[in-house]
Amino acid sequence: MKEKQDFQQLHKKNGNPFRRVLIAALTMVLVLFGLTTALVVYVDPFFHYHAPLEGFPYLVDNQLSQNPGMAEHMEYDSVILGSSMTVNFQTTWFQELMGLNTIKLSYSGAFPKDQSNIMKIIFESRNNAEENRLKKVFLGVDVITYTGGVDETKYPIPEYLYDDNLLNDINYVLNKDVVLNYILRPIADPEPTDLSNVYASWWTEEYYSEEWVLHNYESPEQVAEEADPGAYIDAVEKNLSQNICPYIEQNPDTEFVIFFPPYSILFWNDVQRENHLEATLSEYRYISERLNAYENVSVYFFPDQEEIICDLNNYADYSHYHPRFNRYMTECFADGTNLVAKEGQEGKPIEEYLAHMREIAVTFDYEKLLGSGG
Amino acid sequence: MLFNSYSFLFLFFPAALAGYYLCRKAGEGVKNIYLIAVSFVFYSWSAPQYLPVLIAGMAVNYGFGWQIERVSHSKQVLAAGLVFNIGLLGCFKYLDTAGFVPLGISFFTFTQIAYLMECYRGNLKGTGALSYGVYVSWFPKMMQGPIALPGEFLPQLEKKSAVMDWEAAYRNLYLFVLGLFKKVLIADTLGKAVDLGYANLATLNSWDGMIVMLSYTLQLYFDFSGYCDMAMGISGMFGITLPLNFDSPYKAANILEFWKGWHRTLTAFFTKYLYIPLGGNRKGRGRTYLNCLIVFFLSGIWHGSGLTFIVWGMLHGVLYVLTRAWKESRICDGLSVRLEKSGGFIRKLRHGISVLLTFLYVNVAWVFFRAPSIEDAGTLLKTIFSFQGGRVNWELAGCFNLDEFWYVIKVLHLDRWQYAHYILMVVILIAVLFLVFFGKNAVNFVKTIKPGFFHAVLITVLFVWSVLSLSGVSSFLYVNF
Repeated sequence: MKEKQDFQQLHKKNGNPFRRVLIAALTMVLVLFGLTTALVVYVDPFFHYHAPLEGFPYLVDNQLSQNPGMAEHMEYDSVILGSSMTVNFQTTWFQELMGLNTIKLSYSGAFPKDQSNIMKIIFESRNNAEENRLKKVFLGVDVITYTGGVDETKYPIPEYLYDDNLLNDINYVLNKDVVLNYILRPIADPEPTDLSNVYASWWTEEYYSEEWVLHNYESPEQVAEEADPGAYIDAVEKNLSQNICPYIEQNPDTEFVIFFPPYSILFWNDVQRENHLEATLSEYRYISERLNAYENVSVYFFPDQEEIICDLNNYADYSHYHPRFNRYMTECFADGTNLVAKEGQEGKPIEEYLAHMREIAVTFDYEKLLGSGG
Repeated sequence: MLFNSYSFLFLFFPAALAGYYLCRKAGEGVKNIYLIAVSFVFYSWSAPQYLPVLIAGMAVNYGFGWQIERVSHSKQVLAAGLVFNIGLLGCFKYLDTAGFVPLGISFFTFTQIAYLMECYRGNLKGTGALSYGVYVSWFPKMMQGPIALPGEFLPQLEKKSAVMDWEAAYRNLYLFVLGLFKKVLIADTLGKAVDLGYANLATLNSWDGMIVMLSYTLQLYFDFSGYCDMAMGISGMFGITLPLNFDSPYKAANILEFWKGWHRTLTAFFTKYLYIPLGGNRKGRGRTYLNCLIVFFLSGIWHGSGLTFIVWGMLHGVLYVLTRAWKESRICDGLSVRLEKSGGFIRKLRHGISVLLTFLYVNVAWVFFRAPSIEDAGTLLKTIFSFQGGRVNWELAGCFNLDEFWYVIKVLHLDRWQYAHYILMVVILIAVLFLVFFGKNAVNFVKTIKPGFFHAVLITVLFVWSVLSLSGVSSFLYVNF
């Protein structure tokens, strides 16, 4: 009873205590949200609002979240795009061999729609301003990703980092992961990412061995019926028309360097066992011919590099090659080795590359390789 | 729309509440129209295509109710209404005739059945279309309950609230924040371990299996009861009290007590509209037990399509009947008398063991509730009861390693210890079990708290922590190609 009286007295003296607590809590909540937002906007670890701060030890390890901001706010004159086949390119090589200030914006497992999403941001950025067009786009093409849906991305993308809607930025500015892992951790334990080698694969030297590759490889079941040679063309046509070609057409001052990476012979074992060799080769031909028809495109073909692909010691799994072949490809881009000749021009046409590829794929002794590895 | 989303917390809810305080004095009709409109916006926020199903269902049911209540008080009309509702639920949920399942259909169907039953029983007189509309569509409860009965819900719509009730606002907001925290931080953390475990059943050892089973038992409780706390808190801020759905169910010493604490409004619904009409306990023991089994069988089906849910329902049904039969037997009476005479320690020990055994049984039953198939449930249970030890799976333990606590471990230099990776798993599971067995129910907790600085800080910390945890940074570690 006494407690109640005390309470009522207090109530009279200070106003409604519930009201006061509510207002106090609400104020604290707003202040904390305000501080968090200010911190995220100021450091901006995903580069969504501005270029990196001078001297902040940024951690860059998230392609889906950090690529769009890097594309928009960093300074560059050329880009590397593609799947994990491109993560081991070092951008310093592009400076050394071609004098280009390159940025790497790889997406592991990227589908054509992923490339389209990032190209949209790249070409709308100030790096492609009227007086200062983007010089080169190096785009690695993985044929198996071009046969899927035109609107499919490999992973769900964080839309709020890809659009200009300020409202959904709340996902970014009030985000525990962003604050703890991308702002506080780098401050507490600074290990700034070297952008030249960003997203590089984790495999150390000892993983690049035939034994390791075969240990993790399983040969697929033999498919009896051969796929129609034109099986993939329809989907590839749609993907190129919607996700790739518009950027090539709208940016005639930019050179698009398209390249097909060299997968190991096990990739071709899969192709043979799944019985779609001709369909796969037709797909290479279609993409090559369609893109090479543009003046501002050059196509490089690496899949038939016999001395690379037939030695599994060059790989960490059935498709991922050693970084020294990224270096090799960069040298090719600089001196024109393995360039596919345009129609009517001198050089090696796509048919010759494909004939060589077919010959390797058909004549290689898979049984010997797979038998010996156990 | 989910309560635990930015759009709800920062857009929908503040706007809806502000609108309510503006129009609440404008009369019952305006207020009800507003509440229905707000509910429809909520319902159609993410999937507007379901709204016509809801509205059409509401219109037809109101027609049935009108017919029963005001025109011909006939059993046939009631039967037609029940067939309509159960048929609709069956077509959407079990036969998949439309190719989609409207959100919350299990809940709003039962809400409407309750309405028709009460009309038939003559307990409702002249319910207006608007009140009825609010009753069915009221957004805090329509997706996941609690299932409010018309007798307790409708009278509240007539209440007039002239002054701002700061105390109610404080307590309801507190309840909402506790629910949000339960859902976002506790249930979702446990959920990560559960998802990982069920996706890799073949690789688990007995410890892993036990952790997965236990985590799901806890996840489900914190998820569902957290959701209901949020629903009660939100609804309370609009002046509408929703019924209590969870009352510390895992503190139960037997399965009868468990069902007095778990999903109480569903149990109340089944008791009122199925068990009692079937004869309840008025037709002899055998019939009573059969009626119980029927209720649990249908409850299993209501929870989901598939055999696993029926097995879950029957596991509960069988133990329920056995327990009831035991409680009603003479031996049990004799034991109870003797127990009364025994010392406090023995009684406590007996109670403790009963709680643990009940909890264990409920755990096993939840395996069937969660597993994608009977075989998978069997695999998990076999793994657990094969008692093959070994170290707990690294990734499973990693699911508990919330970044914020990991910093604490680093600061304490515990990270160099070989078992550092497992600390948080053990700490979190023990803390959550402690809450479940010894903690106060959130609803009762907020009833007794006083306004003060400590609570202002606590509410702030829990809310900010939960909100910052809503959106993660998606990373895909095991990328190939």
